[in-house]
Amino acid sequence: MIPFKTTSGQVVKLASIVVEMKRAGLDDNFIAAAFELAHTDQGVFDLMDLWQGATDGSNRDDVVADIQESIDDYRDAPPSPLKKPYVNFDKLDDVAREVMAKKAKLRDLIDRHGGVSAVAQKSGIPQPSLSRMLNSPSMPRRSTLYRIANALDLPEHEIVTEWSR
Amino acid sequence: MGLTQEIRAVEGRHSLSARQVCQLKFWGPAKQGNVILHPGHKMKWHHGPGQVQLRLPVMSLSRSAFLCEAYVKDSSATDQRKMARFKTHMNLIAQGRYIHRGTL
Repeated sequence: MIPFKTTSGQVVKLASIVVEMKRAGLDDNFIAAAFELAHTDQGVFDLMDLWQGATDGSNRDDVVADIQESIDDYRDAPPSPLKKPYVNFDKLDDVAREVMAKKAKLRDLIDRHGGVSAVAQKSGIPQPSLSRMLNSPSMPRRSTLYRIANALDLPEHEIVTEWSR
Repeated sequence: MGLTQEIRAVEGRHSLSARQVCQLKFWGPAKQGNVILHPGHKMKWHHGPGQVQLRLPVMSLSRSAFLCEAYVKDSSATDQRKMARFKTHMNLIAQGRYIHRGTL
C-alpha cells in the first residue's frame, strides 16, 4: 500500500469542501476531524469528495454517517492488534434481537430528551450517524453510547449494553 | 448487519441456501470505478442481475487475509462509499491498528 499524502490541489479542494460543510450546518468538531484525517487517509478524502458531489440530501446524510464512522474508527483503533472474543454464528440472530431491544429503549430515552435532532446537537454526533446507529442491528460503539450518556446526563447502566464494541 | 446475517436475509427473502446465493464471479480485485485498490479484494454474492448483491471486501497482507465490513450493494453510490471506507480499513490494518474476532 502506498501511503496517502494530499497534494496542494487536494488541500485546496478540501478547504472548499470544509466551507461548504460549514454552510450546510455540520458541527465544527466533525468538520475539523474530517479535514484533519483527509490529509492522510484517502478513504476520508474520497468521502469528503463524495459529499460535495452528492446531489440530494439523503446521499449526503449517508456520506456524513460514513465519515463519522471513519473518524470513530481512528479514535477507537487500538495501538496494536487486539483480539476480542468471537460471536458464534448460531447466536447472531439472538445478539441482533438483544441489540435492537436495547436500541428501542435508547430511542425512548432520546425521544424523552427532545428527539434525535436535539440529542444529535447536544452530543455532537451527526444526526445521520445517530439515526443509522438506532436503526441498524449492528453493535453500537461504547464511545458513542458514552457521548449520548454525557449529553443527557445519564448513568452508565442506563445506556451501555453487553453487546457494544 | 454482518455477512452471515446478510446471507440469512437473502435466504429469507428468496428461499435460497447460502450455497445457491454464491455465483461464479465470486472473487475479484477490489475496485473503485476502474481503479484497482491494492492489496484489496472483494467477495461477491448475488441472486441474478438486479437482485440482492452482497459484497465482502478483503485485504491481503503478508500471509493473512482480513475480512472487513460486508455490505449490500444497492447502488453505485453505496459501492463508492463502501470502497472509501475500505481504504480506511486497509490503512488502519497496515498500521496494525485493528481489532479481530477470530481466525479461519
